[in-house]
Amino acid sequence: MPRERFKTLTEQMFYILLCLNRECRGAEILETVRTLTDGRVSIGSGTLYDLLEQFLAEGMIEETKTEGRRRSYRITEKGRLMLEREYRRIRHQAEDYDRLFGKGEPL
Amino acid sequence: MSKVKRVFANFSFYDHSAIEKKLEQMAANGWMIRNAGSLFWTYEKIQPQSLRFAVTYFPSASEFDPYPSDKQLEKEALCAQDGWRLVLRWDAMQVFCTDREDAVPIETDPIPQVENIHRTMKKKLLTGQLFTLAVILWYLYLQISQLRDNPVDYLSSTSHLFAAPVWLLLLFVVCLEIGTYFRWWHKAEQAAEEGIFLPVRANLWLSWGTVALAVVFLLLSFLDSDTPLPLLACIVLLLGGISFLANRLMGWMKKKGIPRTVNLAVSCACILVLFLAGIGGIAAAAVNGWLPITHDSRPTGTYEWNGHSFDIYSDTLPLSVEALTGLEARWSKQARQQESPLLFYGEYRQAPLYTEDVGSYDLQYEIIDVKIPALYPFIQESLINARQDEVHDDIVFTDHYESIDPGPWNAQAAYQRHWSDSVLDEYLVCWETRLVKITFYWTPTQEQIEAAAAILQP
Repeated sequence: MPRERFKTLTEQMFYILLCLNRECRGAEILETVRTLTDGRVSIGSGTLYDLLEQFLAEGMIEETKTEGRRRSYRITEKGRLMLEREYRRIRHQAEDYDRLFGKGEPL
Repeated sequence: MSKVKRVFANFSFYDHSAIEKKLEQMAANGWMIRNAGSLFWTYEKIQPQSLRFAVTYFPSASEFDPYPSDKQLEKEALCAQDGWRLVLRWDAMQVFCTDREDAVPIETDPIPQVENIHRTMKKKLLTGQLFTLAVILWYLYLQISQLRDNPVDYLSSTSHLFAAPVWLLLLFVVCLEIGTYFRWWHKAEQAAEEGIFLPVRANLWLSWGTVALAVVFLLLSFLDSDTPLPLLACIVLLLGGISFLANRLMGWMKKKGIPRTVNLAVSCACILVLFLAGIGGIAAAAVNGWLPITHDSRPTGTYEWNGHSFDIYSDTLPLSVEALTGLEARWSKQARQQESPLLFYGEYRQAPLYTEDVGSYDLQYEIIDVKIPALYPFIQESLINARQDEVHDDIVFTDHYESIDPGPWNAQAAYQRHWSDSVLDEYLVCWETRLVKITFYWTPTQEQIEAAAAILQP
C-alpha cells in the first residue's frame, strides 16, 4: 500500500525542507542541495516545483516573497516538525546499524 | 524534399518515456517536434542532433487555455534555469529538450511524478474516457431495447447487426485503456515507494487493432445499410464539418485570449447548435423529398379522392388479393424488404384505391425467413408475445394469439388473434423455416386460406 502522504520523506523532500530553513527561491534550492551534498543528490526542476506546491498545500512551507514569477519560500512550524521527525527516524536507523555492526566507517 | 513531416503518434498520453525516446530518435534523424495532436504529431526538418527530451505534465493546464497560467510559466522558467528549453505545450503536457549531457532530469522523484501524472490523467480520463464509456453504454442499452422490442426488425437489419460489434469493440477499447491506466497507476504508486518509476506498458497495438476492426464493421454496416448513401454522406459531412468548425473556433478563441471557461462553453454551444441545425436541415430535406431517408419503394403515381391526394405504389407482391379473390380493381401495392445473414424480413400491403368500389379487400402480411434454426423459437415466441392481454382496473383487455388447426395452412403451427370480444382475421402461421403474419380485411374462405398457404409456404 502506498504510504500516507509525507508520513516519511524521500531524500529529495528532506533536502528541500532542509534548505528552506532560510528563505530561498526555487533555483537557489536546486543549487544549495547540489552544493550541500557534493552533487550526490540532484533535484530535477519539475520535481522541485511539484514538491513545493505539495508542501505549500500541506502547510509545510509558506511563500514569503514574490518577484515576478519567482517565489521565495520558508519552512513552517509544521514542516519543521516533519523534518525533525524524519531526522530522528534516520538517526534511529543509523543507531540500529551501529548497534549491530559497530561504528560505521566515516563518510 | 518536405520540411514538415506528420507521424502517427503511437503512444499513450502518460507514457512520457516512450514519447521522449521517439522525440530523441526523430531529432537524431533531423526532425524536431513542432505540434502534437491526438493522432498525428508534426515535425519540422532540422540538422540531425543528439538531444535529450523530457516530458512533464501540468494537471491544471488545458487545451482551452489561451495562454499558460503564471504557475505553469514559473515551472517552465525553473526548468529553463536548469538547462531545459521548452519546445512544445499541448494540453496538460509540456515537452522540453536540452543538448547538455549533464543536465539533471526534470523529474527525479517518482512519488510526486506519479502523483502528478495521476492528477493529469484523472482529469483526462474522467472527462474524456468516462464520457465516451457512458455514451457507448447508453447506445448499447438502446440497441438491446430495440432487439427486445422488435427482434425481427433488428435481426434482419444488416446495419444493426454490424453496428452492434462496432460499439462492443469501442467499449472494449475504452475499458482496456481505463483498465491499463489504473493497473499501471496502482503498481506505479507502489514502485515509487521503492524509488522506482514504473515504465508504462500499454498495449497500444491491441487498441488500434480493435479500433481498425470496429472501422471495418462500421463500413460493412454502411455498405449494406438500409439507409441510403446520400443520407449517410450528409451525416458524415455534418459530423466532420462540426468537428472541423468547432476545432477552428476553439483555436481562434485561444488566439484571441478568450478565457478557458468561455472558450469551452462557446465551443460546446457551437457543437450543439450546429448539430441541431444540421439534423434539422437533413430532416427538412427528407420531408421535402430532396433526400431519401430509406430504401422504401417510391410511389409510381397519385390520385385524388374527396379533395385529398394519395400515392399509388406498384411494387411486386408474392401474394395478391386478385390471386385469392379474382377481384379486378386498381390497387396500391407496397413492399419493404430487408435481409441479414440471420433473417429475411418482408412487409407487404395491398389496398384498393379509395375510388374503387370493391369493398374492404385490404391485405397486409409479413414474411420472416429464419436462416439460423436456433433463432426460430426466439422469433416465434417474440411474435406470439407481441400480443398480450392487459388488465386495467380489474378489466381484462383481450389481445392475444390462440392456437388453431394448422392443417388448412399446411403448416407446423398456426395462431389466430383474439382482440376484445372478437376473433380477427389475423393469423400467425409457422412453417419449418418461415413465419408469416397475415391480416385479411375480409373473412377468407377455406379455399382462400389454402391458396394463400400454397403461395406463402417456403
